[in-house]
Amino acid sequence: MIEVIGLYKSFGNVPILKGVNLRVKQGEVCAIIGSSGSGKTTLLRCLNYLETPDSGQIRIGDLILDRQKTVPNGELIRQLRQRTGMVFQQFNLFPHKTALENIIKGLLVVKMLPKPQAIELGKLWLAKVGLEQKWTAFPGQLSGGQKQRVAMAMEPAVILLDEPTSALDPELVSEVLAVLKKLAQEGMTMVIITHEMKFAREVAGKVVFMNEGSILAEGSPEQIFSSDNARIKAFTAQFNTTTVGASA
Amino acid sequence: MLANREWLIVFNSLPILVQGALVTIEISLLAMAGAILLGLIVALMRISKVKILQYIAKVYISFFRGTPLLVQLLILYFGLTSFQIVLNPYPAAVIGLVLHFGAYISEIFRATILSISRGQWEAALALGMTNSQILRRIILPQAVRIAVPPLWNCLIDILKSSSLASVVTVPELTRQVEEQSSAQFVFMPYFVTLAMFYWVMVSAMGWVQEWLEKKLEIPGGSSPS
Repeated sequence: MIEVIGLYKSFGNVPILKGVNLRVKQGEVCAIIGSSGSGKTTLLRCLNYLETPDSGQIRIGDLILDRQKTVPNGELIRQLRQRTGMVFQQFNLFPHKTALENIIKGLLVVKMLPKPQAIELGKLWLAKVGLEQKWTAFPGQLSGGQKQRVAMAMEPAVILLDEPTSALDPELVSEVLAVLKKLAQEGMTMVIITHEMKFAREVAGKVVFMNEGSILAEGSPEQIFSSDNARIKAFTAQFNTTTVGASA
Repeated sequence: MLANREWLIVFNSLPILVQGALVTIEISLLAMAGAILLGLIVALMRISKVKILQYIAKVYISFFRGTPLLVQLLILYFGLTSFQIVLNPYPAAVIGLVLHFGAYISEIFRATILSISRGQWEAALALGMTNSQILRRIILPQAVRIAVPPLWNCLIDILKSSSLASVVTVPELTRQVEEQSSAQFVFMPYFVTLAMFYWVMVSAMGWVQEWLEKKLEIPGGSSPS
């Protein structure tokens, strides 16, 4: 489904990604964990070319973007982005559009769907995140958790989520995690950066531990959370006493 | 003391003043539309990544913001005749106002476009939208809302500055009043009336601004997060 081969990225002279390889299967939930500055966000943003890698290959389905001497052309990048949906830490909904308009914007403008069809699909997706009553609400009229659920109302080939619950009040985290869990169970492919270790343990099929720009370890949640590696132990130990979104 | 006789003279010439006011409104509206369009184009040039476009925009803004409108009008109307370019009073006035205020308005648009958070661009990019789609559908609608108050300052200034068109012989409000006043030898009543005419027109613009701001209001507020 997703395959990343030899991904490098630096900002100026600072190397951020040092040759990352990653595979995520269809329907798999891949949780990326690791401390700040380890390159998690840059990796995620490279997957839809919000950051242009310095070199490396990204494949999503049958679409291959190979960054060698030249940057792939804009049309190819837009195709990649149509296959990926992104959920941002700070929601980034369009404040001048209603919840429904936010959801169908891409369908109308990018995929050129006829309006009635887009609306039908948009309402269906809103229902899936439990917000069918809120389709006329503007982002400013929604709670943080509701905003993030609107942002997740989509069905791309893969959803990329960059710490989707970090900007939320603690009591709103669980409602978002519950929706995520539901989407995962319905077979949505997801790559999620998260600090919710309980969520990673319960929902992710694969956990990737990033450290200083490369993947230090990857495997099932059990493998990672019971790892003997000192670095990983030190990181996961911080979370063992933390309670997280209980209902997720 | 101002005699009632003088006010009567002013009153009797009201039809002429209204005619002048209509000319003022006409050139002002044309100049506003032109300056908004030019301002938007120049703002986009300054934001663009094309160096030469940025440079042209900068030089344009520097000159037209850096010299008095009156001087610009004199150059357009009288100066250009040295090059066998003869503009009629109306177009000279409108072009002068557009060029002058386009420079100010371009900076308003540039500031408001840049004030829209980077996250809005990224969210739209992540959907697969092209830059021009993002600008048209996501950024400009939000930028315009923020631009209204400073933009209206400028549009009001255009209306008032159109009085300088009197210098290039456009028969607008100020010129009509000046002619009447020197012909009738009546001063204060005419000029107070003139001021009142502008005040009323600008007040009307203020109501339009209020209406527009209300119309562009986003339910629940405009914060992107």
